[in-house]
Amino acid sequence: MKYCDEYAALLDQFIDGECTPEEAERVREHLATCEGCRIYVADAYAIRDAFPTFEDTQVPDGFADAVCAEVRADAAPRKKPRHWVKLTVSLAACVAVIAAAVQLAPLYGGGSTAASTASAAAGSAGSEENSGMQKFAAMVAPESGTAESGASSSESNEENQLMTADTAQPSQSGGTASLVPKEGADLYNTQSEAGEKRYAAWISVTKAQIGTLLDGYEGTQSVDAVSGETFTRYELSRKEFDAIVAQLQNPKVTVDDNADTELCSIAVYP
Amino acid sequence: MNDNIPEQDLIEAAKKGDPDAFEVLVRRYEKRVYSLALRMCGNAENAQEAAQEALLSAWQGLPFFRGEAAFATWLCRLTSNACVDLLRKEKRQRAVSLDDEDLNLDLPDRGPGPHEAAERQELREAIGRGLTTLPDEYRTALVLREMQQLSYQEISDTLDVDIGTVKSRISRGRKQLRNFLTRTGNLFAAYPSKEAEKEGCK
Repeated sequence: MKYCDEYAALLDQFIDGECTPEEAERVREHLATCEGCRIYVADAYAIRDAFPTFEDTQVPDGFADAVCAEVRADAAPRKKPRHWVKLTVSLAACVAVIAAAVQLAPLYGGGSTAASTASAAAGSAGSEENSGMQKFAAMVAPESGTAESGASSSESNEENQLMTADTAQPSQSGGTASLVPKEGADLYNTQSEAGEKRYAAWISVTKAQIGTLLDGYEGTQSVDAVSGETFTRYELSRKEFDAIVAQLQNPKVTVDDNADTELCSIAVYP
Repeated sequence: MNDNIPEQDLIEAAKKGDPDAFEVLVRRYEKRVYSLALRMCGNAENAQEAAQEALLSAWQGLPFFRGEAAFATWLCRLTSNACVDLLRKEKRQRAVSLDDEDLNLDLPDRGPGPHEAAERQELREAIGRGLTTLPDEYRTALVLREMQQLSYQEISDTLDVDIGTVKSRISRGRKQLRNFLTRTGNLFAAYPSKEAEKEGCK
């Protein structure tokens, strides 16, 4: 016996407790006289009653071990908010080491020693923070001072290059063009033909919606090309983006499956 | 011993980068995360990938977790997202639709057992099989409703579709699942019902 087409959609809302009291009353009155719909509702309850639960699922052997091994592999370079502060400090340290080395070089009879000292120092600083350095470089660039901005120039795609003594020197940083936020796109090859930066996923939210979720991250001020409104853009890895979006009410995420990047964007409007 | 550590302490330690604390959380929640992924994805291989992805997202995203929602809710949300992501990527690569696969399924015709518990277990297993025959969109919405008890609004948020679409996916998914169960002899086409008298709305 079939349910009534007229009630087909409403019955499910009734079963799920999602209809208004008036609709519920209407359904109840109908059920009193219609066996087909009564059977449908009964079946739905039977399905709910017997629906698989997590208790009766067998997790594959070694699943947690595999996840934890990944986590431990990721543990050392794990990114944290305010990471850019450390980067700035590391770069400042590099500059200081180079300056000291250059001053000391004549005393030890040659620039090559000084250069290798500087490289070694820069290399060790780089290894502490190596993961995600490129992405943070993109975030840091517009907000940093001259020395850091020079170092986070988009000229380099290599993490290590980012931290070498050469790029830390303002005179070889490639000029001040790298201070403009747009240049970060070069790091990810994410610019569309129209010159608009592309993201794997993005979302626009208000300051009230995002609350404190982005505290500790540095955004860049941007202007909406359509409305002319000013907003702050935060660029994040996909996992960071997902972790934040999973805490938002009613998020409307746009995904670009064709974007050649894992970088995501959150635009925060006042 | 780890079972006694309060969840909040583990979360705080994991937020600071302690992998041991996170491992305890993983072991506490692996079943919940994996079973949701299994029901949403419809097969073990994808479920494992999505569940792993969700837990790694949790690890990397913990600094953003403010504790306004329960950790379990947040994890389920990450899992749902990972499943939807995976299914979407797969769909782009797949030529054959799940509807077609449905027609080719060769499933045994199981009649009801003599005992109620056995019948229920049988129905449960049949539901598991039936879910795999549903189109991804219907299955994910129905699983979030029946397994996670999410409201239509919460499902709409999770799947990023409007609430009208959620209503329609649940309604169609439930009807297709019911048809499958009736066809395979796990639900009877007609019997008197007391359940129908239950209150449907809160």
